[in-house]
Amino acid sequence: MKKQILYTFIFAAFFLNACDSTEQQTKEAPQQKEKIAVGTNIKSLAKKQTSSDKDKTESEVVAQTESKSAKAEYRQISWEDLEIPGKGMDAVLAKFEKEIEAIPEGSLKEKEVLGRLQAELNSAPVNPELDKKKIKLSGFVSPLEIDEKEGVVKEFLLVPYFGACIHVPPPPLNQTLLIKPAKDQRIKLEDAYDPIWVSGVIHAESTVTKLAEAGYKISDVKIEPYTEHLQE
Amino acid sequence: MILLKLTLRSLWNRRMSLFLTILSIAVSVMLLLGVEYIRKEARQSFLSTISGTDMVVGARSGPVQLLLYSVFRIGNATNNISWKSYQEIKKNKWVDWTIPLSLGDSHKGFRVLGTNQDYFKYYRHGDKQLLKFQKGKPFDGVFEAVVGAKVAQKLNYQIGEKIVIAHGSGSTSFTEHKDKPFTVVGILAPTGTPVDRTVHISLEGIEAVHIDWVNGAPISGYKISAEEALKKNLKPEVITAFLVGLENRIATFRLQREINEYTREPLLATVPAIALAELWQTIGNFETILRIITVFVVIAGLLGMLTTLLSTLNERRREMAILRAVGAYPRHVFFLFVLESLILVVLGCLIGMLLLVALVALAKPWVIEHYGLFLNNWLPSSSDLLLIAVISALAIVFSFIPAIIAYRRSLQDGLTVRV
Repeated sequence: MKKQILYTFIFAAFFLNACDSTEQQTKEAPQQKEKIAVGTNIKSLAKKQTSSDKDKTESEVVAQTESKSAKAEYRQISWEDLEIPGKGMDAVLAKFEKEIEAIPEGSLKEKEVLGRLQAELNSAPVNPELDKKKIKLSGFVSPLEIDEKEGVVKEFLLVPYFGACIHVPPPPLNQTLLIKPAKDQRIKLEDAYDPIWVSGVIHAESTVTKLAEAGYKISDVKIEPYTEHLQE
Repeated sequence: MILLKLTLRSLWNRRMSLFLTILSIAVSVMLLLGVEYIRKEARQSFLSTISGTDMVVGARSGPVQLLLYSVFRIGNATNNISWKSYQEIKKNKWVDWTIPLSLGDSHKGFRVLGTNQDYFKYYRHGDKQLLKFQKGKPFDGVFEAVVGAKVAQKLNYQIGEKIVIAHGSGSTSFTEHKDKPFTVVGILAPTGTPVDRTVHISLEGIEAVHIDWVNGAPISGYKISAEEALKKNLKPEVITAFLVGLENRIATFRLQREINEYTREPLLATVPAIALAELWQTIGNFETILRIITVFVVIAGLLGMLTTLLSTLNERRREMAILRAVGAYPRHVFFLFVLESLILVVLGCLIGMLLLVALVALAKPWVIEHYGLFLNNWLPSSSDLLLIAVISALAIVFSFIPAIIAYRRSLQDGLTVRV
């Protein structure tokens, strides 16, 4: 019976997926074939029921393909790589599965557990192994600060999907990256809705220790428009 | 070299009609660059209104609407939000600072904003600039006011002036809070944002002027004087909106969702940069239309030049024939025309730019007076220079037509006397 609650989350994942794919369709991008694409983490969430450690193998595969094309200076990573294996969304959902099933439906306890689940998703830790690594990641721009003279985005958050998908919780902290591009790398306001590739040095600061510094930041960024094919 | 000399002499010989051609090019170039200039100025004054603020929170409406009424002071708020909710969100661990905003009253057509000292501490515009004082200091007492640069200038206010706050946001109101005048204690430096057109008072001030109002009208016989009002509890019950600065901008979406899902009151949190981008995308379309129109104006100007060149072609038959007779090659004739139009267009562009500089300098005081907008002096930017290069290239291409005609005409053509 209690599976239903878990299903709401899985449903939510599908909704999120829906937001995601409509956006990509407008960019005429059927990118199912590609392993690393915008918002793949969401898909893996949808697939999660089958195997929870699939996450790990997937990132291994990514690492392998990456080492093959070793000429690339920046390692191309996916959004799942930003989570710690075993502490990502999938793992959190799996952890709460039993607890949710154990409590009576519609009770106050249920609300409380779901609240905790949400909190855990929100405070998902950053992956310290990524710190100071040169990476390449694709995503969407959510502007934070605009240069009024040039009409360009001075500071933004890189997120896995476009706009606010209202059906589900916002991306957790480890799925939003703060980026302050240098002057020559800034995106025009008009182009802020297009997906981009970001290459740069990633900095991971734990949520637990420093509130003001928590999360991922990418410095020395190079920004390119998003293309479907892996650029190697 | 001799070619250039010949061109210049020839041009000088036909100076009257060519002067008009240059003028038409100059005017069209001025128009094109002028539209580019206005576009950039408008964008700048629009985008510089708010900076360094991570979130605007108000009653539930739309993100753009919330930004318009709380920051741009355009239109009216849909609803107020309770002081309690504000206090609660203020305590959130991600929140660094907040600025409460209370709107709804006016002073001689200028909006009155109720806020606190944090406004002068945290509110940023342009390139993260804080507000500066021209004269005076931030308000401290309940009946003290700080006015924007435009308000002070238009109404000729000095420090110490007594002003009366009116109900509603029209230019005149028939219900004024006359019994409780405010004293101007500070005048802000111009910012080029809606702050210039705002009268700032404390939240307690807003409460005080409304203290003897019940059910939307002052009760006759129930008057509370300014002194008495001070003794009353002036703690605000409601505010219109508030601005939020975050400890860490990565938490933007998280706090936004927390506020949007606040259960005790329907609240809306919006990220100003996103709402600005959204708004600008809508307004931006008008920009494109303006640009298309001016491009056509420039093409019309160049066509005018082409017409002049073509019409003088017949007059200049003799000239060309003589040049050929004294030994000029057909290609010399060709370059004569190309060079001529190049000189025309470069002169046209230069005069156009000078006209624009003069026009902006002349319009500046008037625009400040009437619209409160501060125009920057016009200086050609790299994109402007690129435009001029494109225009020059286009002019050269256009000049190929008369040049080729002249090139193909034989020597005899100009020398044969025709009836």
